[in-house]
Amino acid sequence: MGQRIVVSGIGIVSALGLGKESTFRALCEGKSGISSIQYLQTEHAHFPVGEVKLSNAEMMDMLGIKSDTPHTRTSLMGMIAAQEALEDAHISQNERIALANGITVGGMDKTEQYYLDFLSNHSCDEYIAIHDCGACSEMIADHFGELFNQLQTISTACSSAANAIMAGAMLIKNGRADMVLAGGTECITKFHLNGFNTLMILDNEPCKPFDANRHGINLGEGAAYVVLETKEHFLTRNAELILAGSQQKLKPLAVLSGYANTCDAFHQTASSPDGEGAYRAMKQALETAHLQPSDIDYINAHGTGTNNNDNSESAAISRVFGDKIPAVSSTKGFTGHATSAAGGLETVISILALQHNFMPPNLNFSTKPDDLPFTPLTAGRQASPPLQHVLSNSFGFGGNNTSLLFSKYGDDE
Amino acid sequence: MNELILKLKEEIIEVLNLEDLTPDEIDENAPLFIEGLGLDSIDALELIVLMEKNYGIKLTDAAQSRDIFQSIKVMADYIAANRTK
Amino acid sequence: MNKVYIQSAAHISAQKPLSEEWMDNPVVYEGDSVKSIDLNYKEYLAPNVARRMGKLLKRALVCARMAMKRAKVEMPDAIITATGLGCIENTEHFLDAMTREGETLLNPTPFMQSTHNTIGSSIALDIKCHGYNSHYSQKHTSFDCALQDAFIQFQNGKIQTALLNAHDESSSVFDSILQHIDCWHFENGGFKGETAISMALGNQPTPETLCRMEDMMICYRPTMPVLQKELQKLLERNGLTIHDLDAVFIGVNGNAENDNVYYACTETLFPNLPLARYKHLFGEHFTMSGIGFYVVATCLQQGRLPEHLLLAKENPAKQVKCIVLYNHSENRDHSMILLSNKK
Repeated sequence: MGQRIVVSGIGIVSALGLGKESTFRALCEGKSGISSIQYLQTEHAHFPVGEVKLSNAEMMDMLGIKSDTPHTRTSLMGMIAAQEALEDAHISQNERIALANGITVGGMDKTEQYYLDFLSNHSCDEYIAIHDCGACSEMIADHFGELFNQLQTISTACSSAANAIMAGAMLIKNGRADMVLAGGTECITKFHLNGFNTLMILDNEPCKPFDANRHGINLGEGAAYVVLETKEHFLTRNAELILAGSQQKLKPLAVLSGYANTCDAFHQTASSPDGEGAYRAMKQALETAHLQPSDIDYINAHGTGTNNNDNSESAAISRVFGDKIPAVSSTKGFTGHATSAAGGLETVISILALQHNFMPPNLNFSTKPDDLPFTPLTAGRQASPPLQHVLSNSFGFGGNNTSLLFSKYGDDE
Repeated sequence: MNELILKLKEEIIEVLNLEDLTPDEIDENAPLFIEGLGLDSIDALELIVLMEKNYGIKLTDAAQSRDIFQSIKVMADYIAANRTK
Repeated sequence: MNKVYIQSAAHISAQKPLSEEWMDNPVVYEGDSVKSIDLNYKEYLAPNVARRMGKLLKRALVCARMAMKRAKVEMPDAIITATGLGCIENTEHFLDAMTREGETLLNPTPFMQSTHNTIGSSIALDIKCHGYNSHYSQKHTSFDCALQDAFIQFQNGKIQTALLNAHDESSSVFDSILQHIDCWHFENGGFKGETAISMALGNQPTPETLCRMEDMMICYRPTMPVLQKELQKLLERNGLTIHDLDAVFIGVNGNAENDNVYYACTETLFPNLPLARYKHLFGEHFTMSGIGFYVVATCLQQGRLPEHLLLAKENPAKQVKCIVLYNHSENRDHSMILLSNKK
C-alpha cells in the first residue's frame, strides 16, 4: 500500500469568507455566499456570483503588500489561503516545501483590464509578465520568501486544483518532495463570465445542482490549499516541535487515501451521458485506496447545476454505487463554481466534514428529477456512525475528471 | 425565400467553418444536427449568435432553439417571420 | 526503479516538419520571430475533425498521431501536455472581441478552444483515450514539469506508455504585447519560435527507441550551493559522476540576461564539458525545452553531436552516450534532465 499521505493543514478563502472557521460556520448555518456582483466590472451584472467579499486593495493590505505592487486577484487570494494552510500545518520558515497549484486563466483579470493599454502604450507593461498561470504560482511562492523549493502549475480547467493535489501526492510518494502545498486559486474574470455565458450555462438565479429545474452554474472564485506529507514525516516533525517545547502532540487532519485522474474523451465541453470518465475516476480512486463503494459515507459531488454535468455525474455515481448510494451533496450552491479552485474548496470542505462529522447540504434543491438515482442532502446533517471516507469529485471541460478520496485519520494510528 | 436560404447557407458555412462545402451541396430540408450536416451542441450556440447578430432574433433557450434549427428551411421560415433586421 | 525510454518523436517547428533533417541540414533564419513550417493539415485531418481547430490544435493532433504511429502505440496509458500560454490565438480572439465589441454576441468556439487543457483533451478525444490526462503550465519549465509527472508514474509502475506533448503558438496580438518585455528580445540569431512536439514514452526499449531517460530534477530559486548539491544527488542516485557526461545542452536564445545565467551556472557546475544548444534552430517559447529534449534524444540515437549544435568549435566531436539537458526559467526554476543511450 506504500506510505500514507496525510493532510496536516488546510486554508481556504471563498464566497463563504476567510478561513476554515467561517467556512464551516456558513456550511452549518446553510448560509450561501452567492450574491449579486459587487467587485467584477461587467455588463452582465444580473448574474449571481460567489465573489470573495474583499477588494484587491483590502487583500493587499491584509497581506502587507505595497499597493503599487503588480498583482492579480488570483495570486492574492492564493496567498491568503496558502498562509492559513501553512500556519495550520505549523510549517516554519526554515523548512522547504513544494507548491502544486491549479490555475486556468491566471492573470486574465488584469489582462482584460489593461488589454488596450498593452496594445497602445507602456503604462501597464508590468502586468504582461504576470499574465500566465505559472507567473501566478511564482507570485504566491515568492510571498513566502525562500519557503518554496519546487513549483508546478496544473491547468485542467475545473479539475485543476484536484489534479494539483493528486500531483502533490505523487511528488511525495516518489520522494521528490517532503511536503507539498497543493490546491488551486482562480478569480472571477469577465473572460470566464462571458465564456460561460456564450455556452448558455449560467443560471440567472442561485444555482440548483441536481434539481429538476436547474439552469446552470453561478460562477464563483476563491483559493484553497492543503499541506500534504507522509504520516512518518508528520510524526517526526510534530515530535521535533514537542521537543522544542513549541507544540503538543497533534493528529493529521485527514488521510488522502485515494485519487484518480481519467478522461471522458467524449466531447470538448459536454460530458458523456453515461459518465464514463467520472465513473472511471471514482472507481480508480476507490481502487488506489483499497476501498469498496460501500465504504464511502459521503460524496461531495462536482454538481455544477448544468443539465449536462449533473446528468452525467449522477449516471456515473449510480454505476459505481448501484442501489447503495451514500449521502451526496454539491456545495456549489454555497460557493458558486470556483473553476480551477473548485477542487481545492471542495477538498477543504470534505476535510471539514470528516473533522466535524458534518455533511453540508445541497442548497436550493427542491424538485427531484424522475431519473435522478439519489436525493441529495437538503439539510446539513451530523453523520452517524461517524464519517470515515469522503469522496470529492472535480470534473473539467474536455473531460478532465478527477476524484479524490479522504479518510479519517484513526485514533489508533 | 430562395434568396434567404442561399444567404443562410453561406453564413452557416462561414460561421461553422464548413469550408469544404458549397451552398448547393447543402439540402435545405435535411436535418442539421446529428444526421445531415452532423452539427453538435456548440454549433447550436454559434447559430444562436448568428440569429441575433444577422437577423436581430434573440433565442434564450438553447434546447428550444433546436426546434428552429431542424433544417435550413425551417430556420429560414422562422427568420422571415421574426426578423427585426 | 523503472526506466523511461523515448520511443518516438514528431515535431512541427521552424525546422522541416516531422523530420530530423535539421541534424545535417538545418534551416537558418534571420529576424526575431519565426513561424513554424506548417503541413497541409487537410491531408492529415478529416474536415469534420479539424473544422473548429486553430493551428495549435491541428499541429497537436498531427504530432500526436505521428508519434504514436512511429512508436507503434495505439492507446497510451497517459496523455500529459505542457503549454505556457495554451491556444493563445483563441484567447486573443475572444478577449479582443469582448474588449472592442462589448460583452454581447460573442462566439462560444474561441472560448471553448482557449483553455489550456483543450490540447490534451482533443488528443484524448481523437483516439478515445480514457487514461490519465493532465496539463502543466509553468513558464519555461512547463515541459519539465509534464515530463516529471510522466517519469514519476513510470517509476511507480502506474503506466507503461505515455504520450508527452509540448505546445505553444505565436499570435499576432500577444506577440506584439510580449515585445514590451525584455525577456522576449533576442540578438545574435535568436528568435521567438513556436513549439509543437509529441513524444511516445515507454518502460521497455523497442527497435524504435531513441534513447533512455535516466532521471531529472527541478528546483525553484536554488542558490548555487543548492544547485550543486542537487546535481550531485541526481548523478549519485543514478550511479554516475560528472565524468560520465559527454555534453550539456543549454537553452541559450540570444537574450543576454537568459544566456548569462546558463554561462555562469555551467562554468561552476560543468567545468570542461562541451556545451551545446538548440534554440538557434527552433527559437524560444515557453515549452521549447520539449524540443531540447527531442534534440538530445536524437543526438543520442545517432551517437553524434553535429558541429552546428556545439557552442565552441574546438570541442571534440566524439561518440555521445550521456547528456544533460539543463534548462532554466528566468533564473527561477532550474531543471536538469539526464539522458543516455543505454537500453
